[in-house]
Amino acid sequence: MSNLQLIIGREYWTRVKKKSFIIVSLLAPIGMVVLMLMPTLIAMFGSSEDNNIAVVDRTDCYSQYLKNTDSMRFFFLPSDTPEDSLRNTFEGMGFDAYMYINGSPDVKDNIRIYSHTIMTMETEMAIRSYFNDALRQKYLSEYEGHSSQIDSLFARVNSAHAEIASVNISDSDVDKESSAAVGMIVASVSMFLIYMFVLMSGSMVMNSVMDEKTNRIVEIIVSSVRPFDMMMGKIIGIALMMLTQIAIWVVLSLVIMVAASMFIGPQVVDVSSVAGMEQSQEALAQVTDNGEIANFLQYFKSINIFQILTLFIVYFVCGYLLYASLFACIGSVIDSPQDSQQFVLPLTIPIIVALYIAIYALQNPSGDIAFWGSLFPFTSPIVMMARLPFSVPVWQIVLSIAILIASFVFTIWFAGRVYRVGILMYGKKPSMKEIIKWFRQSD
Amino acid sequence: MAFLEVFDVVKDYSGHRALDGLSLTVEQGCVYGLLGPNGAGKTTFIRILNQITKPDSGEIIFDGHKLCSADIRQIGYLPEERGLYKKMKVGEQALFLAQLKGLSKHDATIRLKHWFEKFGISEWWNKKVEELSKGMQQKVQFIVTVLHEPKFLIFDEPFSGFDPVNANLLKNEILQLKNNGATVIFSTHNMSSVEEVCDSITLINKSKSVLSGAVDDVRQRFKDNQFKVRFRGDASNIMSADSLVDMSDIVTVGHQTTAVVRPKHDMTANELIRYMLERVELAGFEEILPSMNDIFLKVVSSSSNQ
Repeated sequence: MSNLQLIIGREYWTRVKKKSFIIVSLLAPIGMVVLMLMPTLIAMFGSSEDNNIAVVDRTDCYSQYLKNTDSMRFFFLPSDTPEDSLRNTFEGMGFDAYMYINGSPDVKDNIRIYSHTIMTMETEMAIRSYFNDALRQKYLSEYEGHSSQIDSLFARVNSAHAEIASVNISDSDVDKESSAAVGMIVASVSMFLIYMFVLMSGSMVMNSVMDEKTNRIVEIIVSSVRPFDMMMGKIIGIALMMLTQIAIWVVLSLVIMVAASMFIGPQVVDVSSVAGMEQSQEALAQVTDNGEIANFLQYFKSINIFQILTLFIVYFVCGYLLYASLFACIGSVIDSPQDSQQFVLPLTIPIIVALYIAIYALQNPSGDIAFWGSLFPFTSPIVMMARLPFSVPVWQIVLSIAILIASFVFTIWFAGRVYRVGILMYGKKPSMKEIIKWFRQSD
Repeated sequence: MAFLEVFDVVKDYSGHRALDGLSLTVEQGCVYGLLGPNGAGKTTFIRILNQITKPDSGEIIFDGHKLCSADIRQIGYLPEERGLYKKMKVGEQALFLAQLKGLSKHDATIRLKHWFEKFGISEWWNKKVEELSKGMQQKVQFIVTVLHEPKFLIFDEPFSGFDPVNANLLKNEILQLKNNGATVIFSTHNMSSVEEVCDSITLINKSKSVLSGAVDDVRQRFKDNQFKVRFRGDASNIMSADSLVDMSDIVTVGHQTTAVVRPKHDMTANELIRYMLERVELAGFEEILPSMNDIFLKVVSSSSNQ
């Protein structure tokens, strides 16, 4: 085994075997799933307020199926009511939502429900079941007289599934379909994850370097390992630890979600709440084949989740290497945690600025600030995540990654040169000038 | 046969010359003392030997060839400032450090078990380092230094922080290593330990070698013709005005007197004895060699004043 591998192994295993690592790995997904399911559970079991829904049925076939309940009343408007006018007036008329029926419910987009607020689970489920009834009736009637095909009939009736598009009317003129919302969620989750991981693992690298320096183990190690290997081993070991943690979270969340959906019923798995768990889509689709998930998958297809996932890993790794090498450099320069503040600030500021630019970029993914922010290497890993779901030109992604790679190659080289001198220097806090001197010093 | 030859090594640190033309030769199988005040350049030289840093110029011949990176595995280094990972278990840590020196996990385990038994610390294998006393940690560090059976060992202030029992244990281990054929460089401020274990020394002051040679030769070179004598008889027989010797530190207990004598003119030891015998009843005679401590102080202060 090479020394680099040994260092990586030590960094990795001492961290992974820690109790805190195991506890965080196990508890975080449980907490996350509980948090994610909370709104759904509340929506599901909580009593929903009264809903008055205006219905424009252009087929004139479905009024008999939409039955009023305690909390939901349907009002049928003339089938030639224009959509534009209703959109502006439905609230004034006392309706919470309006629904257009343009054809058979098993065809996508034939049934659209418009509202300002997101419909509760209960309402949506009720409406869906009405249309499922209607579909079953329709299928049955189509098969009358063809009793020989009874098997396929049953299959069809059982799988009756009404497509219902719920559209949130936003204040702006453009209706945001749920796919945009999913894009938004994917963007914010991935940018926050990168922000969090880079900051966390960066300071982990710094503290670990500082630890080795202050307790002088570095004197022993450096006599058998090149300082550069020592630094890279640490950076890589901690990265692997982070990736292991992420992998455990994903797998555990998946297991918990699947278990929960089997236990409470598939509907519980809310579309929006799963957005963070990109990887879970396939498995979930296998286990719970229902409309919500199908829609969800469709939204994902529209924003090219595979591309986002790949780029997430690329940007995470590159951004981490960029920052972790500089954090290692700082760790090698300072002697005590008290000194770290002054040196860490210039590193944490760009990360925080990146987060702000990214939040801005969510609103305006192709604006100037978002564009430059996604090219500048110290902000690009986070800002690009915010832009990705909203179709970024390929040349910009390629350019941004190229700049980022060039930058981390430089920072690793720079950090390595400062590190080899810094870890063996004790005593007074060096000035910037001295650090530059170390950097230029020959071996 | 020379194991290590250093020719004219120079090392500059931005504006400060840490080593200025250092040359020395370390014979195979000897303990070589590297002496000098703080900041003289000893650590820089040791780091050059460990290839932590490279000299700006000069040449180092190690075991017959130019020092190269593969030699690292032939070197065992116990730094002055030494530490261990506090949160790691003792055995795990020793294994890790041994593997860094190129031992396989299997070999390292066997050798470690042997050494742990020898030092009576087997029960510490699964303890965390932070639970160990300082002396225990130093034993572990020593074991890790010698575990890969290096041909060449560098001990930088090995006795600092050791209690007398452990210091003695360590001293014997070092001599044992020497007997097994290893060459040892021994950097220290503790001059009495130099007299006890070192065969040769080099004294570095202000980045330069100011004194080197075998310990006995050096002490001979610095002796200033003083002898310790013990005799019966009248001390005034020697102290007369026309006496050929000066006498000082005279202590008389009963009939016996001890004193330090120094010939006024050139005189061999035998001539001095003859001179004494003619005047008193001589009971003891011993040449006083200067201690390494005295030599150190003398050389450092004179070379610093230049």
